[in-house]
Amino acid sequence: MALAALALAVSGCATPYQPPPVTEPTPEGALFTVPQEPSPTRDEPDCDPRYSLPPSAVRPRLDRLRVGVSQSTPRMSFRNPRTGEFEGFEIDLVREVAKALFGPRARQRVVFVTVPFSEGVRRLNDGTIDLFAQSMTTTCRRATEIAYSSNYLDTGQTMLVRAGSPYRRVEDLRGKRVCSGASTVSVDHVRQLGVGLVPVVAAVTSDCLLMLEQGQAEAVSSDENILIGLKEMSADTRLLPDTASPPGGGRCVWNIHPECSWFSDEPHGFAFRKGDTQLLRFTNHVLDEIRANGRWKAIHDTWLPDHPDKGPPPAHYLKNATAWPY
Amino acid sequence: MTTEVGHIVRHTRTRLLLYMIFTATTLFGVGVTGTLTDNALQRAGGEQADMAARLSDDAQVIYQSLAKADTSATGHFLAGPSARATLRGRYDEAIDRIRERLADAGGLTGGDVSRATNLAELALQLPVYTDLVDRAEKLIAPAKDETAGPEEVRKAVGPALLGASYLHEASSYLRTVLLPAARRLQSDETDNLRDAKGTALWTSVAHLVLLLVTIGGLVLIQWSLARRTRRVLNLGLLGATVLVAVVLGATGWSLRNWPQTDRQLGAIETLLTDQGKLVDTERAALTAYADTHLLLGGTSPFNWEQSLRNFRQNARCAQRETVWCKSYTTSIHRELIAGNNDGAVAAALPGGSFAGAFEAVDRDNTAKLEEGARQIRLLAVRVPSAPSRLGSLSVALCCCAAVAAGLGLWPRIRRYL
Repeated sequence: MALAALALAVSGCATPYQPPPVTEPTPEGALFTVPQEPSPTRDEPDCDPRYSLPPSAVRPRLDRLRVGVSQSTPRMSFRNPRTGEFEGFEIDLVREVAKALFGPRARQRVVFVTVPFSEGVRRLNDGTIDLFAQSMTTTCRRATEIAYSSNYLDTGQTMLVRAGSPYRRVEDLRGKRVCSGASTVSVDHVRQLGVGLVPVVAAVTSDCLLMLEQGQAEAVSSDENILIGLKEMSADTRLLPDTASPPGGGRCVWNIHPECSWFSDEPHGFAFRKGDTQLLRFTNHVLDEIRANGRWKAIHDTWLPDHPDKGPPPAHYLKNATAWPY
Repeated sequence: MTTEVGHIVRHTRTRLLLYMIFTATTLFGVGVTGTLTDNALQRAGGEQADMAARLSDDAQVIYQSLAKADTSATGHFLAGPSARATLRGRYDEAIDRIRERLADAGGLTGGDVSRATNLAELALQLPVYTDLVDRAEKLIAPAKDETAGPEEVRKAVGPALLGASYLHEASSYLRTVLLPAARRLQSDETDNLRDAKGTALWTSVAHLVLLLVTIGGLVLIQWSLARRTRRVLNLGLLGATVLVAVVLGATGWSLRNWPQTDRQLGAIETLLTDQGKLVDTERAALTAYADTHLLLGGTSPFNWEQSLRNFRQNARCAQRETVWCKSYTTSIHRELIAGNNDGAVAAALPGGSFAGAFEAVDRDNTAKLEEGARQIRLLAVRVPSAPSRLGSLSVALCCCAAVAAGLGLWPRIRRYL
């Protein structure tokens, strides 16, 4: 009895070698538990975020146009790793504005500055850039900090899942981890859907793709134009629903077909300093022109042929306004 | 009268028994502390110093090579074909060096569970890192293929951007998992050396105190018995006292080099601590360089100002405004603000001004680290080895002393039974 107790004590005291566990890699800044409540919002003005200042054909006097862009959002704005050139839907739209501003010397006079999304507003206001083009949704909250152009793309939030996963509808993801980029409204939308999704966040939306590939999330949620780009980054993924056609055929457009997967309205616009109305109004003028002459469609067909919008979003202007009202 | 005699008998018998117990206990204690002191002196002597020097050298090379692998890997996305080959070569070289040193360190664990666990942690998690880098490399390569047509390149852009994200994840994994494990491996050796020195000191003191107590006790017993036996010397006790005195002499002989050993170990400990600080400086510099690659590749979570602050902190610019510090401000930070991303990338890649300034800092740090490692090795060689038979000699002599004391005391006890 005593011997048994001693043996037990000895074996309890000894620390035999145990191989240490292998730590799984996760993207830097990934959070698997996000606060339950949506982040508090500032007082928002009563506004319609689709409305901008009326267009004006008067050219602002600029030596160079400095544009804050992303270099890693496929389809929208990215740096071609081979040539080093910036390319994408937003880049081509900005080049149209530059062409109208500077004529044949536009290529030399437009400067693309890579700016993190979170830094865009600050860089506009400190004068580092004149225009911010980074898939920014126009919202009333942002209207208090910056001015924005008329909309250049209508999109909505949806989900990207692994190609071989069984999910067909948002409801199928009940209780599953859904990843969104930090500091985006996508996280709040995921929580507000009310179908029991578990929101997780990554520092940037593209890191959500790693989490999806590594099995740390079951879906990525963001605007569809971003998700189309992510899908191009990883072929082993698909969007919800896996058929883009609603019953009766045609393209799946959220506000026409309620059974479609977009669950938010995300009009995109370029951002400007609030006082820079001349450049803003001139940009609206150029956007009007390219909407009308088919150039917008050509650019859209080059970069976003599979994006289910209804064509160039109609421009809405604040009547008789000459200064940004918010 | 009978009661009084009985009391004396009981009293004397008890006292003799107490003498026996005291002698047996202290002799047993001397044997045990002798063995412990022997082990502790061996550990703290040349053996431990040599092992600490070699393991800490391995750990330092592993740590530095991990950080170098990180700077090379994070540059993949930015680099053109020739710079990519240079960076890949540096990365492979760093990983080979880590594997080589892990194998070398594996032979030096000496059955120490903590050392084995630290090494296993590194060995098991290194492939996770290299897999991430290899995956990133495969995703990025098609976009960098100069023979590919425009359409192929266009298709390769998305995967290349995913590759950049994997590189960022690999870098984060290396910094949060592998580097701390390598740093623990190094700092544990300093701790082990400090522990060994401390253990050798307290066991030696305990052994000496016990020896003196034993000798004093044996002398007192002798005196006590002599007083009752008309000053007849108890030969058994005398023999035991002589034997314990021999153990005391042997202990003194073993400890004759201790002051020198203590000084050398103290110096090695200081050098190891300094070396740790130097390694931290080098790691921070390498992190600053890798962060610059991530910033230029568009996968850094920090804005320009934060990146500038992080860089200056990691490059220790507040302590010394080096050419490298100035180069970041002029070739990276200002170029980014001016929209000249290409210029900043060119400066950061091998052959660029920023990379050149970093290489000068790296060369300087590496030379200091190598000099530190050389000095530690030199000191380790000079640590005197303790004679290795103190433990067995103490045990053997204590056994003999116990027998002698027993032979001396037993006839006296028998008289009172």
